[in-house]
Amino acid sequence: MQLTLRVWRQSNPSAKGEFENYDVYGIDKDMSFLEMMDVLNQQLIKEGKDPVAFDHDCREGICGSCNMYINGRPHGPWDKTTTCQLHMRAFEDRDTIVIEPFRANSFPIIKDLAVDRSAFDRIIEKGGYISVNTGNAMDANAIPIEKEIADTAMDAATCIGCGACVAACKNSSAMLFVSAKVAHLNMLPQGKVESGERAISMVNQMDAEGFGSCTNTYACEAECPKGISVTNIARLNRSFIGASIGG
Amino acid sequence: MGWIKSFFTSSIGRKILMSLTGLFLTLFLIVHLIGNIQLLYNDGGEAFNIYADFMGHNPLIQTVSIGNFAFIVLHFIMATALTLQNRKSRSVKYESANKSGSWASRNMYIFGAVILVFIIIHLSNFWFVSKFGSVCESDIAALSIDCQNEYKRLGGKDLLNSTTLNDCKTAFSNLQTQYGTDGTNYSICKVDYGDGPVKDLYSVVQQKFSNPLYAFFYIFCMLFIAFHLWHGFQSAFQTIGASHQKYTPIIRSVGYLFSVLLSLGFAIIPLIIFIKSLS
Repeated sequence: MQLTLRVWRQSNPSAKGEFENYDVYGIDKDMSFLEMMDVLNQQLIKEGKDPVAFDHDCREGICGSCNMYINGRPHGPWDKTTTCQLHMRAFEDRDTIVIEPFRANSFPIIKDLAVDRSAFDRIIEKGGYISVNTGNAMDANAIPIEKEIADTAMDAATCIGCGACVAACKNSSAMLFVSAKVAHLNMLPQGKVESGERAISMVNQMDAEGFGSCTNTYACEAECPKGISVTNIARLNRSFIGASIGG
Repeated sequence: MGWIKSFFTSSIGRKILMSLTGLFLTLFLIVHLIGNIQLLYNDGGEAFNIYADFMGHNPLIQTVSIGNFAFIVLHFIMATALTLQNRKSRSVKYESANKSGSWASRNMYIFGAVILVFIIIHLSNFWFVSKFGSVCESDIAALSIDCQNEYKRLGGKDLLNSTTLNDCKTAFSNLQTQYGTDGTNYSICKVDYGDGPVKDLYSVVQQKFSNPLYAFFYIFCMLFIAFHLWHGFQSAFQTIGASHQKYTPIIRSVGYLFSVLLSLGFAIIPLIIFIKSLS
């Protein structure tokens, strides 16, 4: 395959970036998108140019590092797929592919396609955990949990924190991420104890980080590589209202 | 008390205000439509005028209507605050914008802004006239020629103080007692169906919608109400946390049905009145 890549290049956080077009050749349709990017970078290195910076780690769809906004969609054209699991057979020979970083003011660009998502970490620090400070890990089945609740909590827990929800949202809202984290813990007995406090402090941190608010367009759900449901947003709203008013 | 402030300044708290005021305004639309259907009765406006008079004088309805205005303002202020914040959250736009999410859901603020302009025009057409309108055209026509000229010259203002014609003074004074005029020159007549004179808002509506420009402007604006409700109804439930695998699909369907029926219902009124006016 031969492709034209239109890639966002930005040398540092304060630089004014711009798009550059590159032609890449000899792309196999069974290559992953990141392997294709490796081919591009190899080519740039050979030409003595600066390779394109992008985040990646596990390359097996579970770490949430590979955040690229491809042809108007975070993680590209395949539903429920991370960029690393996207394969070149998704494209046609001689296609032009526009590759942008995840754009949100709360995700400042470090370089090229790599963005700083530590805003998510700071939200997690505000309650994305349970306060069990001592002792051994309990036996997994010591606390009985309804199958349905365990399943729903597990579905929320599959969020890999990649930020595609923020990237897809017209408001750069982090509600799907925050709601997945809150719902996952608030539904389970271990997390229920701190449920109200968790909802309020994580939402307050989300607001403080400058993410937009949710207008229920559900673009986040459509683009989430893990298929996290917007039902979690309603759950978060319930927890937040309950904790704020009921206190 | 601090919790109230932090609740209503948080993004979710503001959205809950949007949601609750929105649902109230939807409820208002239902009542408004049911009342307005009476405009289509073939009774020369009797039912509608008596209903409008009742709505205009019932203290409970008046209290609710103040709330209604306040909620429109609050809905608008919150929407503006949230939209500004949302726009600020992404300074560099994408070259290829994301198209996920329905078209209606991505343009709520624009629909809302059009609806607000519509509401202002709508209020000045009917609400303002029925509230502050004075002096009916046919009553003016019944005055002497001198008085009519005087009325035109004064443009309906300061009628009693600026005229030197004595018979006009009496005539204007009678008009003012009858209409409780405040000097504005919008015209609305009064009719008596047996329980004392009530304002003939029905005729004002008939007259406005016999103008194709007004009729089609109203019909056009109902499109925006439809789009706004299409997304807004189910969105309001999601925001207050009402999401359920059994009931959410029902809420969604009700919202869609509702947006179509309500806007169609409002749109047929000017359409029928316009068509009737042609014959």
